[in-house]
Amino acid sequence: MSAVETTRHGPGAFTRAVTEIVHAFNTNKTSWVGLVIFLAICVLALLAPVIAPYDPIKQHIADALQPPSQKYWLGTDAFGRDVWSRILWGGRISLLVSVASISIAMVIGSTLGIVAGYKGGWIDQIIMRAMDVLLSFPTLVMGLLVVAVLGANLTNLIIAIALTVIPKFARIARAPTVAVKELDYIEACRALGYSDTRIMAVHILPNVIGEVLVLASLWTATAVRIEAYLSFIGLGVKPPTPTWGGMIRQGFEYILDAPWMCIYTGLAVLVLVFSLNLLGDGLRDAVDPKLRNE
Amino acid sequence: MTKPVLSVRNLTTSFKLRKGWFPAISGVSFDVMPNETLCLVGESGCGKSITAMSAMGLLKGQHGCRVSGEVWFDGRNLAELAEAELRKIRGNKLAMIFQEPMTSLNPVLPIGLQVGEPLMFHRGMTRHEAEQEAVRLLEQVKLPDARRRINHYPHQFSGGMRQRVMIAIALACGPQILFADEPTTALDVTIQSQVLALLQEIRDEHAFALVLITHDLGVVATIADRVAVMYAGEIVELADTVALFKRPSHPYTEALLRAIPRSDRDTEELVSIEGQVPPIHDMPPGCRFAARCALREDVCLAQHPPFALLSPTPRHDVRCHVRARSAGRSAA
Repeated sequence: MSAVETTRHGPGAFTRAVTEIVHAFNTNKTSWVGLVIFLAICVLALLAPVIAPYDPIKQHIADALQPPSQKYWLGTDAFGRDVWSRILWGGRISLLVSVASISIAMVIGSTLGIVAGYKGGWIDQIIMRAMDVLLSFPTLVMGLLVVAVLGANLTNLIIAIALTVIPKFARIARAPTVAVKELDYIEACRALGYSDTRIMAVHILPNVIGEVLVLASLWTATAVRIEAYLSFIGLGVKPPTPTWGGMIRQGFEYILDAPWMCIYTGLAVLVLVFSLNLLGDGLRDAVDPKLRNE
Repeated sequence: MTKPVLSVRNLTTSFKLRKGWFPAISGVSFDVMPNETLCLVGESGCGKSITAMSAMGLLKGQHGCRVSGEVWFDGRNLAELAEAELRKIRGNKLAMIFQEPMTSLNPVLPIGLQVGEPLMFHRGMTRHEAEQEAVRLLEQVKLPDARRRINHYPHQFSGGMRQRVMIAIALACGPQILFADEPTTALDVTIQSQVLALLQEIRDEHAFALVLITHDLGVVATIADRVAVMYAGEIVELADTVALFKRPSHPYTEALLRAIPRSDRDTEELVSIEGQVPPIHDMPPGCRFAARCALREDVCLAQHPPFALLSPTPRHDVRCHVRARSAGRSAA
């Protein structure tokens, strides 16, 4: 209320958005948990150089495959590298790759989906058939394709993951768009002379964003996994640089003799995914006024 | 004589069905005078809403839809205007409110934003200015506690309140013509009369022309200056409200008026019109009402009746062979 009367356009809108999100988070307390865990993971990953007890790359062959102990909290891998230190360092790349690729895919994918759903006709056909083509490529093949064309590095890894996930967002955004555009208030918007761009951005997007955010929180987890097997075929992050996906893959070879490599790295992925899911739920409630208790 | 603000000439809108293109409205022509209330009346499916939407240019270029004819407004033919030009007029000089207030507002945006949006879009106001103006508009449509309620969402309002919000949105840019497509149909009777009274009041205050679409002759009698009766996609009678109720000329109008249940008469049964409206894909070559008409003659089945002048002042036109002939005879 006070934001409306006291502030100008920019800060007013921003303050209100923040107030609304805080309000929605308060009604759904678990989203605070999600936010706190996610931020904690980000801080730990950022502070890796300070808090990691060992160098993540330097090998101590004598201490190979040690179980968790006082010296190595989460044990060591086949080359005697400390798993805890590698999880901290690996978090930086895994977070970057997953969050960046999913953000890109979310923006591009849902834009395409909304345009396809709203415009319909041949535009819809072209966009969605293109999405079908993208979907028909297995992630691995898509990764190889991107490498062959652009070369192997971190940026291209992000692009490759984004490309495979874009169609999912396009589909999830298109479905509610098709339903919403038939409703009276979209007709009313046209009767008010609004442009198509405005109708899509101001009136349709808020109806779609909830589903898109939930999907994004789920796919961020999958992106960590995709990064693992794309790194395995040599696209993107090469060993010995630690990434969560790469560590799980490597640990898999020793799962019977040294299960701690897989277990603890997997746990890190699990906690990240869990926090993002809680966060996604909260964000969905924040953008959907119908779910707010007022 | 005053010039009309809107002149619709020969408006025809066809839809594509399986067997080809069929006109939902054909040859619709009427004028809207400044600051008058013109009612379009007729039963469901007779083309009232299609007429309003075609006049606003909302159907042009839509899939499976073809519009022809002329719509003159402000010296320009809207039917020939590019979509971008049309957008500057819609919501600005021509506004429209819809039948269903429960679904005509965006459920995920606060109403202050929705009322202010046309001002931001057409007038380039900032969000803050638009919000202030929205409060003023909402007060004008008598929404209680407007300043506080601009942050509320549509689901927190009742049907009548929402219709008031819709009216405020339509009023935002000071339109010259307001199309109201059955604005009271979804409301209960007491709220209906409040909303009608409000429409009339702000029409006088803002001096715009109101084109009201309704199937309720009671509403027509209360609010209309002139009435256009539609049947099967055509205007069959266009007259002054008083003249129409006193001397209905088209047999369909007569039948409609007879069908109004009256409390001062002791009737056992409700009157209805025998027969069916001809389907869109099977319109008879002659008069469209002929099959249900008591005055039917051979010419009615063979020839499509023209829209004939019955009396010049106040102007009264009717689309009926029999009535046009007898009027001609008495004039001669």
